[in-house]
Amino acid sequence: MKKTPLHSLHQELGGKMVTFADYALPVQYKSGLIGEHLHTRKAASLFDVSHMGQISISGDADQALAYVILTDFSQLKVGWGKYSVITNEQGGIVDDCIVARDQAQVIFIVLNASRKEVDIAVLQKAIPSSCQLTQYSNLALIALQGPQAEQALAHFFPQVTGMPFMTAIWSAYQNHQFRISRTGYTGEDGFEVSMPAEVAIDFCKSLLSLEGGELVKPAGLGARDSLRLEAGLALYGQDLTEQISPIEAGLLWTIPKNFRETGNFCGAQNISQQIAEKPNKKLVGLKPEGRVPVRQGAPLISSENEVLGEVTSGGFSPSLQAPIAMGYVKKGFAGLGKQVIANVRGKEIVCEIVKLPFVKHNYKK
Amino acid sequence: MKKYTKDHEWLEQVEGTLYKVGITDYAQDQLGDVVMVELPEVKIQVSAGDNMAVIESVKAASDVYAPVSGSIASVNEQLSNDPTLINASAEKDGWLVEIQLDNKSELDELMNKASYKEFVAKNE
Repeated sequence: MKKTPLHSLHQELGGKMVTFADYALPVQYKSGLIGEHLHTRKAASLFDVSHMGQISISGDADQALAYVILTDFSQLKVGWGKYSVITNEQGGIVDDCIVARDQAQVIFIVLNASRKEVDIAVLQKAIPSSCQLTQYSNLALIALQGPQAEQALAHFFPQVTGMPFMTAIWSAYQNHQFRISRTGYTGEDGFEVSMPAEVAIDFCKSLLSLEGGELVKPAGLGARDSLRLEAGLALYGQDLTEQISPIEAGLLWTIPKNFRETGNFCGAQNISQQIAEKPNKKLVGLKPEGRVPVRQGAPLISSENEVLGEVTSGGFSPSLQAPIAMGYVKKGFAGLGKQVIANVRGKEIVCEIVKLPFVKHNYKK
Repeated sequence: MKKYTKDHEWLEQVEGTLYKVGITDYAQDQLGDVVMVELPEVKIQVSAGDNMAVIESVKAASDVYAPVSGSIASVNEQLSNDPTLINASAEKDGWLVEIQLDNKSELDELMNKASYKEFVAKNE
């Protein structure tokens, strides 16, 4: 099992360690999941996401990359990033990621931990031999998320004040190069910060000690999941897989309009067909009646016992004090306001199809 | 004096054959934040080992088994307003049900505090 550069800090902070994507990571600390979740929405939380893949591709790679990562790289300016998907020839999602142009000919990409090896193989194969793919296994990555994240990070990097959402900069701190992007996975304003592994613990301790430890608190994978679910953000491996297309997953908005017209990208045939004919199923938000959480794997049926789909993510929303879920529902049954029945341990729980997100986003747009 | 089961439940005599039942502090720590509790109907009969309640935590749903046979005399109504009582006070205010025991000798099978502590340590 692998360890991140912050491993000993998690132990010092009383983190409850679990295995995730082959890494030892904390699912929660002493406050518990709900406390960590709520603190993120009102102040700032620090998450260790060093298990994720951090790579850069240098050289004249724009055209090659645009075939597999559905982004118009010619429109991506230096210092800017975009949420995008890597697709396969069947139009399925290989991974979702954030791509950014760090320099004219350097694209920086953050990949899901469970997919980084697969992604790197796909990207390596796609780029011309004149280009170079570098994987940064010596960089730690943290997410600092919440309405007070800017205030906290500005103590060390004053230039983050007013930094636009989805931009990224490299900046020196105590003689080390840090990469800061105004991105995140919680629906709140926040940053993702890369730094050399050897300075990660000290830097995190400095963040955690601001204002007597009351401003930034550590948060684990459990809170990370409940936050992204409230924000209606998909999780690869649950809501997104190689068998699901970006159209089914509600990610048409990530595909540039000109791409949809020319159809010159990996998986274009199936994806274009789904755009034209509407997909056979789609990812929806679900609001179960009552208090029983409806979780991943629960089948969704109609009142006539017809199978309509299944829940791919579900849990309890600390902000709403109620269960929330996301899942795939068959075409014709997936409209907002429609009801589906979730089968939970033999019990039938009525769920209403609702708009995502469950909790509104607070991005600094 | 409490008695403990291998499924991390405790029992404590209220009076005569009336016993209070809950889950241990160790169990609540393993579950994480509790978000709701499904309690049995009052007056139903349970046998030792039957599914008696379900505790939904942020992580998962966990079954709680009847530690002994008997009838449910009452349930902790407070838990519907505040399921987190189980986290804050699993062995006191977070009690789940009161059972009227059928057979007091079933208690002999259970562990005392010291044996339970040993059991937990061995299984960590």
